Amino acid sequence: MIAVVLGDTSSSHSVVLNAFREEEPSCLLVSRNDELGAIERRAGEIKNIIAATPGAVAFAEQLQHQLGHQGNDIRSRKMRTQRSEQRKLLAAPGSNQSRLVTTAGDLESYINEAATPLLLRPDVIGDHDPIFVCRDREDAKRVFASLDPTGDHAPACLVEPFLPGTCFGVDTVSHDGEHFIAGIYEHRLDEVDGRLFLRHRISRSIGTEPLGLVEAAMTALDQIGIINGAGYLEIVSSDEGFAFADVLAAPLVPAVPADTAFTAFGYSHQHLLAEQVLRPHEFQRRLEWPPRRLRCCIAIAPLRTWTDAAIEASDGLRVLRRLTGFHSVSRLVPWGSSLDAGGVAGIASFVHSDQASVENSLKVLHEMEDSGFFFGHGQPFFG
Amino acid sequence: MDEIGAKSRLMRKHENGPEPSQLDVVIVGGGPAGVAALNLLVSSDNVATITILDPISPGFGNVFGELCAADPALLCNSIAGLTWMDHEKPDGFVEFLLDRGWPACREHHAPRYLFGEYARQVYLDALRRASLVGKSVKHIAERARSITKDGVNYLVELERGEQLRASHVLMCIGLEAPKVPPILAGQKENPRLILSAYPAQKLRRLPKKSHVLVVGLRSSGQDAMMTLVRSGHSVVMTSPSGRLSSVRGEIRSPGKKFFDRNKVFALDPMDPRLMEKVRQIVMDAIIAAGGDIAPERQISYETDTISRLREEISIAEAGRARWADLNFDFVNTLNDLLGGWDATLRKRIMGEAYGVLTRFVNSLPLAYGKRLLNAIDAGKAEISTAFPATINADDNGWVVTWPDGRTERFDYIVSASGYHFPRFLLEGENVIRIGNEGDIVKGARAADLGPDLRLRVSPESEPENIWALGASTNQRFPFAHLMWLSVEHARRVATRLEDGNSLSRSLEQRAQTATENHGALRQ
Repeated sequence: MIAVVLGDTSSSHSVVLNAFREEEPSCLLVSRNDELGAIERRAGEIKNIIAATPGAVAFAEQLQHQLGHQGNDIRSRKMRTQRSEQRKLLAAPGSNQSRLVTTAGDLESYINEAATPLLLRPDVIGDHDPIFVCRDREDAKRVFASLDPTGDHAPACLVEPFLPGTCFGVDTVSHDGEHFIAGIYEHRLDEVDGRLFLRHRISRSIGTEPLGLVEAAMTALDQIGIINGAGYLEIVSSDEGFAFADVLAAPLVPAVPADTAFTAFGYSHQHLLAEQVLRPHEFQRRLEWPPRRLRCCIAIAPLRTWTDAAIEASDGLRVLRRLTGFHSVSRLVPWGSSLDAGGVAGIASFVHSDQASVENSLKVLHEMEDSGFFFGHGQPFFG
Repeated sequence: MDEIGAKSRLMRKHENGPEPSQLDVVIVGGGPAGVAALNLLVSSDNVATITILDPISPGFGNVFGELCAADPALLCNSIAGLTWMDHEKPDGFVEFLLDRGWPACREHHAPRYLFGEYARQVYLDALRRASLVGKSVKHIAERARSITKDGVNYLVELERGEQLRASHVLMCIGLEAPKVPPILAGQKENPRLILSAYPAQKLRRLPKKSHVLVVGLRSSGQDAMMTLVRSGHSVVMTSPSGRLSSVRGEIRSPGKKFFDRNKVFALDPMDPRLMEKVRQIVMDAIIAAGGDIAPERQISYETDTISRLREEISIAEAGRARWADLNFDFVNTLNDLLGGWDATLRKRIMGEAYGVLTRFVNSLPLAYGKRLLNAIDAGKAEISTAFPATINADDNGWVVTWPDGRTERFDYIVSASGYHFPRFLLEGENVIRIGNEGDIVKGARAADLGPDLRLRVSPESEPENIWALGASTNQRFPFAHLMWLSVEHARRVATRLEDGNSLSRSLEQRAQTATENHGALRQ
């Protein structure tokens, strides 16, 4: 039996779970809120423990350790669960340094010497971690205070300079310390009302990424201690070099839908993970070949609304489904559901042999979201 | 069937061994005009290599790509039935839409981004056909700066300094540099002056509930108004003329011929009664187009702008604006007529006819007219028929003084006065620099563009192997930016590059057949 652990019940755990269930029907879904004792009673049946989402890594690794399974080295677990620990190993280029802050005093002393704008995010890695953009010191203080409205317990946060550059996401699967690049994506991140949001991920074929990015990713995986299983790295590339925003020991949320990924790559991140766990000898063959050039360009875009609203209708879907390269829409929230500003109603996927067409489709999609047109109704498209 | 025919033709040539190819063509600009040219040149035996220069991905262009078209609410100015990329497939765009599941028809205006997608598809198809015959087609993501004569060839200088050698250069440059009205010319650096209506996101990001003056009443101005109103801003639109174009409804016979060309081409440009005769020819055509609808029932005679807009919307909705059927034939006829005249005559005629031309040829699609009126009725937009006497910047925006002495504060001004057309500027006898109308105003000297679409150092000089297509021909043809004209230019240039070759006759023959079919389809 494979135990699939998720960090947050609202996470897209099902994509990983589904990949395992296709070949191993008796998967056990475990939440970090579950009682450890109940899981321990089934220890004999559990062959492997998988972190399905970034927020599940800590609990999954703890379980692996307690049940005596071989996984990533438990001694370096903090590297995979706390951003401040990662930063100690993976220093940003230049003199920009990050700092762990747990009190308003910590923050004050940091911002007095740091350049703005700043990024502030939770230190402990979760599934849906917000990233706050603080334009100045007062902004940083206000954001930090808002995270602890009662003043009882300030959360540990990582604060660091906002580095300009292009953001890349690298999906990996590792086996006995060897790493397979499952996908390289360029990310569009937009700042909206003081928060940074992922707008889309668009694939980059091996060889078209900035020189040295893959090597830097491989080295970071070694440093963070990811030996087996899924990995995800978020890397900001600038003239100064590479800066690691996150190194996760699980697939990113939101995940690229498996069927979309198969159309482009012939595999998905989740299915590669399942293969590495269930059929390691097959997975190992992949490591013997140089990376393949992509046959298609693939992109995903979380469908966001920028106002607090109930999702009641969508003119935008009529356009979206006919955009060049449209592949599918998944995880749409039920009609009538309320979403906060920045909330995600679904994931749109694109696959096409022409990258420029996919890029253009993404621009049209974002225009619809940004103008409030996507979730509107009654808009005629032809005049 | 066209596809198979094209393939078998190519296969036949391949089997017999390739004919000598010697032309190295550089296409400057990868928008629809450039792609229309590429689409034909890949089938040309005389062309060995084709290089497209454009900083953005070929096909989309500025007007139909990210800059002006990403918002699906922005529509093409021409109906789908008059928007094509291949003269052999006049329904190409409509079929593209149908293939993607849109309930399309020839008579409607489609969102602009869809035309961008279609043009990109034509580009990709052309690449595929080029690859079938082993022809080299390369895209370089750069702008060209100038063309220098180098013996019988040309050196195309790129912005970063690199040079490309070409035997033929096709100028397919579109609209890029926004015009700024003289009243705002000294304020270009002011961050509260937005120099173009595009991209739409630039306007959406203005602070909430801004009060915005939009300078320009034509399509850029209307797009700016719509984006701003939808984002919760209040808008006042103005222009020096203060006049909106007429509203047109459904175009029923888009390809039909209404003008007697013999009569038109017999006009004497020096005739003092020229404009009167032109008016009579146009009136005869309107009567012919209108059938039982008299010309006076097809347009509004209201003098107040909003009343006229309201009445013209009613007329268009009732299907009485039959004058709109004339536009296609009128533009073609006028281009052909004026294209043969010299620059002074063209300028004089265009000056005299400007009011009528902007009212009818640049008419508003009904959907745009209704959006505009809805915004006005909702109190979110207004049209000022007066143009500001002065515009002064202050700390937080602008103070506008109207001719009646009233002052009004605005948070921002959007200059939506359209774009400069390209011009080709002479630097000595051997260098042609790529510029625009604004450079001419500043005193630069333009190369001459002949009716054969070829540039010359002077009207008396031998034509260069440098050709202008689409918007780049505006120096000679007044309505150069319309899509079907770019396609026609591409056909003419491709035919000339094949001159003397069997394919030339074949191209001409196919073009003739396509034109006849096109006309027949729309009768």
